[in-house]
Amino acid sequence: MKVNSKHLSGKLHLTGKSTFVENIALQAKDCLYAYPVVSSKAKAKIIKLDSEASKSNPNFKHLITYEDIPGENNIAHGNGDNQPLLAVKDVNYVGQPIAIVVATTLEDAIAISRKIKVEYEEEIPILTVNDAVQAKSEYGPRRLFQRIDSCSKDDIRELQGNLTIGAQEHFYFETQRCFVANEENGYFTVYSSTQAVSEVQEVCARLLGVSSNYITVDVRRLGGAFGGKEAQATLWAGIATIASYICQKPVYLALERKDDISWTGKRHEFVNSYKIKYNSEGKLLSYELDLKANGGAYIDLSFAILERALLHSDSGYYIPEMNITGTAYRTNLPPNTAFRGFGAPQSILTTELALERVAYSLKMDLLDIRKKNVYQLGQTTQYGMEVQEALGLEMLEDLEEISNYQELKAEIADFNNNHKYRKRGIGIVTGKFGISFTATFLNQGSALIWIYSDGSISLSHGGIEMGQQLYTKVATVVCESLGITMDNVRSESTNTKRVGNSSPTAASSGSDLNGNAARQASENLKARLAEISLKLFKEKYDINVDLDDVLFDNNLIFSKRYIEKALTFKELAHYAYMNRVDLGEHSFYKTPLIDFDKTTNKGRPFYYFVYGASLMVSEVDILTGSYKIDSIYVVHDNGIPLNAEIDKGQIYGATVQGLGYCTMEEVKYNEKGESMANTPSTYKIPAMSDVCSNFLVKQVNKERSQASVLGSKAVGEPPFLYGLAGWFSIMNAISYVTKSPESINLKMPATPEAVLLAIEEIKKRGLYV
Amino acid sequence: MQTSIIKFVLNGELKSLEISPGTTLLEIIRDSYHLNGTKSVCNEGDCGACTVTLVEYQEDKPLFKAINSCLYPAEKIMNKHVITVEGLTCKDSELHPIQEILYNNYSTQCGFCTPGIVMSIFAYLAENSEYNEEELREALNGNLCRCTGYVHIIQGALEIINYFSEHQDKILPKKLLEGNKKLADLNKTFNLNFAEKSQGGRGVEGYYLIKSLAKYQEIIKKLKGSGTIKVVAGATDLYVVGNLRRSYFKNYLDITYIPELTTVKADDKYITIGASVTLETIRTNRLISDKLPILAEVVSQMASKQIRNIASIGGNVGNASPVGDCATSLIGLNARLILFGEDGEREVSIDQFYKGYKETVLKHHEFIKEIIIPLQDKCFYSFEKSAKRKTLDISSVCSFCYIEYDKGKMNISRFAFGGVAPYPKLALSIALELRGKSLEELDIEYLGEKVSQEFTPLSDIRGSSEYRHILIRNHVIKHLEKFKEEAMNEG
Repeated sequence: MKVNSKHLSGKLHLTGKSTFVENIALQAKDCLYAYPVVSSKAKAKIIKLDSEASKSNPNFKHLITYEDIPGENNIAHGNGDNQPLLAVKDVNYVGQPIAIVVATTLEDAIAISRKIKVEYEEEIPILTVNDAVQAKSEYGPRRLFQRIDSCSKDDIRELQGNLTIGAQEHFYFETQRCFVANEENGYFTVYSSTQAVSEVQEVCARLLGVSSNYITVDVRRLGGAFGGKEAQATLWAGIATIASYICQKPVYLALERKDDISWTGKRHEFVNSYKIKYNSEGKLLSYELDLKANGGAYIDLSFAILERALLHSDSGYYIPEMNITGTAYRTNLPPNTAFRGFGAPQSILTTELALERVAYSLKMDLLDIRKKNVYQLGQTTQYGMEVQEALGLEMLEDLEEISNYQELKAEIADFNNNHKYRKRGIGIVTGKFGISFTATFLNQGSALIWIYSDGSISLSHGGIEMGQQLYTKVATVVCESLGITMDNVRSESTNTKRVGNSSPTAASSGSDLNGNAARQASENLKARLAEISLKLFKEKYDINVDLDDVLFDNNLIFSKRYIEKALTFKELAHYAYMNRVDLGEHSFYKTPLIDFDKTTNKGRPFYYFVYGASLMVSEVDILTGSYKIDSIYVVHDNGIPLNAEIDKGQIYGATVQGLGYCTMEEVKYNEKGESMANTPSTYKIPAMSDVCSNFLVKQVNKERSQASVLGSKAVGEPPFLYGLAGWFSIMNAISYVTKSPESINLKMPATPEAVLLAIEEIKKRGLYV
Repeated sequence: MQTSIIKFVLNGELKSLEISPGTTLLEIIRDSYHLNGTKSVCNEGDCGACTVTLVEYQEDKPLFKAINSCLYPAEKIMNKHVITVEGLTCKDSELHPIQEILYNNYSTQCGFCTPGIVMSIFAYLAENSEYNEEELREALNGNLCRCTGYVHIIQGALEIINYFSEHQDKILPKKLLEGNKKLADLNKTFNLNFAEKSQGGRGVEGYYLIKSLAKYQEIIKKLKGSGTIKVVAGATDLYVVGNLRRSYFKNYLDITYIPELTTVKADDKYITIGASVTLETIRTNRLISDKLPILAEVVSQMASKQIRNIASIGGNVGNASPVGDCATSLIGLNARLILFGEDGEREVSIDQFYKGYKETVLKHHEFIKEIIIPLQDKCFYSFEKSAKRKTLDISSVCSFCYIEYDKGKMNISRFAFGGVAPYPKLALSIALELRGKSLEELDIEYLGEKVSQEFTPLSDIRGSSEYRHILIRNHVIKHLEKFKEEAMNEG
């Protein structure tokens, strides 16, 4: 039985003793500090860089431009784009690095970087999706996902609409940063706050014009990432590496909060339009959806994000006819990037909206319509993947039960009848999230385990610890397998020297890929230990033990037949060493069965789905548009969790992040492409007061036919979708003041302003009741 | 030149440190003492990751408070005890019960906000003798977390207050108790004559902790003509500008500790609040909750506990923000301000105080000394704040409504608005409309529309002009609906 271990870094975090990049940098002697000079224009030609300002500061060391880069000035990774580390002639977004200032203190580096003047010849930027459509500024051709199943054409009704979904700032607490130590022979160790060590390694080597083995990337842990450090940590690592190369000194770079928000990419803004056909019973028949993603100035991960959006356009529902198209656009905003959910929330939200409007137009119950349309076993998705485990209905039935849905509905109707200016509403979202990188080759993981001769263990794998407690979960797998307790295992930093070619820790895949690899390594070691244990059993106790009977449990090794005559793990390890048994093991895992053809958009991109459902109740003040979420109910398909409490923490955290996304988090740029909400006083993330005490999570811990390591299922991203119920609950509350709920025009996110303006629009159109 | 070495206690140990003016407490903690458990995350008092606990003695009693160290002028730690996360434990393997319980509740994920959360809980435990969930949440609203969704934090924190209700003796470890003793001894030599220091890297020459009005006038005379002088109290606004824009004044004159500015007094007719009284004091002060509870209600919706612990009411009025919640309320309450400067005192009515955007009638080197609020028996107060987030947010529009009524008729009324004009302002038309009217004669929708037309609010990051127009109208409706209900209940 698995024991729910505590966070391996928990004690360090709570006492303030945990090591982050900054702690490594602070210990370095003679460390220099780098800060970028960035573009203040969204689109312009660079005329002149005036370095005069730097010279008056005695702490100034170097000013580095693209001409100083010895290798290829390109940080794009795996997407065919050409994204310079330092701008050459053109700048394409506000915040794009043009030069690097190096000084003896961080404060001076920042001060000088702000004083350096750049002359530009400004051009007209493309900022919005509409601008980009006009200018045909596309990243590749429009993609089409199509599946036409036959269905009854009687009694067809139709609805159409549009939804613009705003961007979202990651707001990881630890801003982008990197410390680089120069070593002998032109080698560098890069301590980057990144989710993707191998990508940083590859790009830094390319910038220096050296091979990958010149660069070691080491990551102990991150102070939050959420996708924002998958592709976007590379830029800052590259800058610090180039600075260290030029100065031949250790160099540290850490962005100020305001700069981090202003200059880095966000969750993509999407402009979506849809047409949905249905019958009078609320059965969905046909769905056309067009997705337009604002990709920003460089491709970054926009292709993959758009792809995941297209793959999730069905939300959890079977619709016989699907015509789904999507395009990513190049604009002059910071390159938009990965963020928990990776495009799926934007299309799921739109599909759930279409479905809600169908329910409103038919005066149907919001739960019933979902039950009626969720996937059933054996149906196929719009990309031709058969649904082999259909849990949508089970999730919704559980949700109905834990929320006391029927009573809740009656209570709300009653409350609303008795209150003129306060209205409550219910929002429901069905989650079905595909697990695996859609770029099939990334679905591989490696682990390296050493059992030292005293029985203690060193565990390395390619995954990054960023608060999700991946290290704890992978160590749990090793302990389960070797029958040892957690105190025997040291989880090493993630280091390209110990584990190479690792995939980014993303797509919720961390524990599946690295856990499975670590499990395999443990099992191989266990087999060798079991074999040598026979000899020790004979020597020590004079018993003949059958290999099949050897058990590893609670730091002991024993045979089923002689439970009293046990060996300690420690003594067996030592004995194995003395008998020249290999106690080190590297293992590899690749996700089976997956295969996806990007030209036909058909296949099995996902190994399995994680299901779930959520319901929120909100209360809206009709006079001010402000609201509060009164209760949250979540049902989550957890498999057999590696650690139920850690997974619960992920569910809570992702739900609240999703709730922030659809309520208060509003990214704003002005007409010059400058970030307007770039500090926590203007960009609001949920505070404790936004989280209600009535927050009930039911983890459905069942063995599933489709799951991953030790029966567990991925948990990082799927629960983000649960938060979206907040938006629908607000819309539902507004529906009580209008004759025509299907025509409510609520913006996303539903800020109090958006809510009040939606109510005002109802009044202006004479639909207010 | 006088020395700029200050004495204070840090995590139980007596320290002396030379401080370069313009430095924040966070910089001292991290750069001078290498205590990197305290994190720098937003540098503007909005996230709580840099929270530390301060102890100061008042009437022989140690007072504990959580503050944002990123906005705290380093000079102010003189004669105080600074407790950081490192101060809660002595040995490497040891956990404070707060930490132990949070650990067992999975209350930390990435760990970057965690030390701040620990220190907010610690301060809450140490400053109170009884605990409840509401005040606990109040104490934690200023600590943002992006990973946990707060549930595991709240769960842990609730277990913590249960535990410490029985084990109050375990809140302060021995070394911190000893630190408090050292502080008490240090306080016997209490001295606030802190003065000039040679120019630091930020171009700041002096940070003066001023202990009397006379001393203020003396220093002003001395400094005249020697560069910019800024009067400062809580510094929660000024130091944001310093941190984010690296923009400083040459001399800071800190008036926080002038005795006349720190008291709350009341008689039957007036309540008088010293300008440097903190927002948290206003929220919790007995006299205020007794005589003017609405003001405590206004303040409880402002900022976070860490900010309220240092920000002053005078600062909220004096910085002339167009959306100052206190300023707007004080206009509604018809407060008067006592100003103090080189030539002594003068009095102005608060609705005459503002001249334009960020512009007041304050002369050079003049500051607000006291705020006098008239008290009325038969009157109705109501405050409304509309902001994106419920706590720790700046208003899009705030409004304060004051109505005197007698025998079913309304008499004097005042509706003040913030966020709708270059400075907080009274609505003029509505007072005439209400005067002499009875409840039955109220046409609430009409009045809302009328007030809304009086203002031409701008569009900015906190709201469009259209949104603000609707809010003005609907705030009036809300106030008057509330008034109607209250008046009808009273018969």
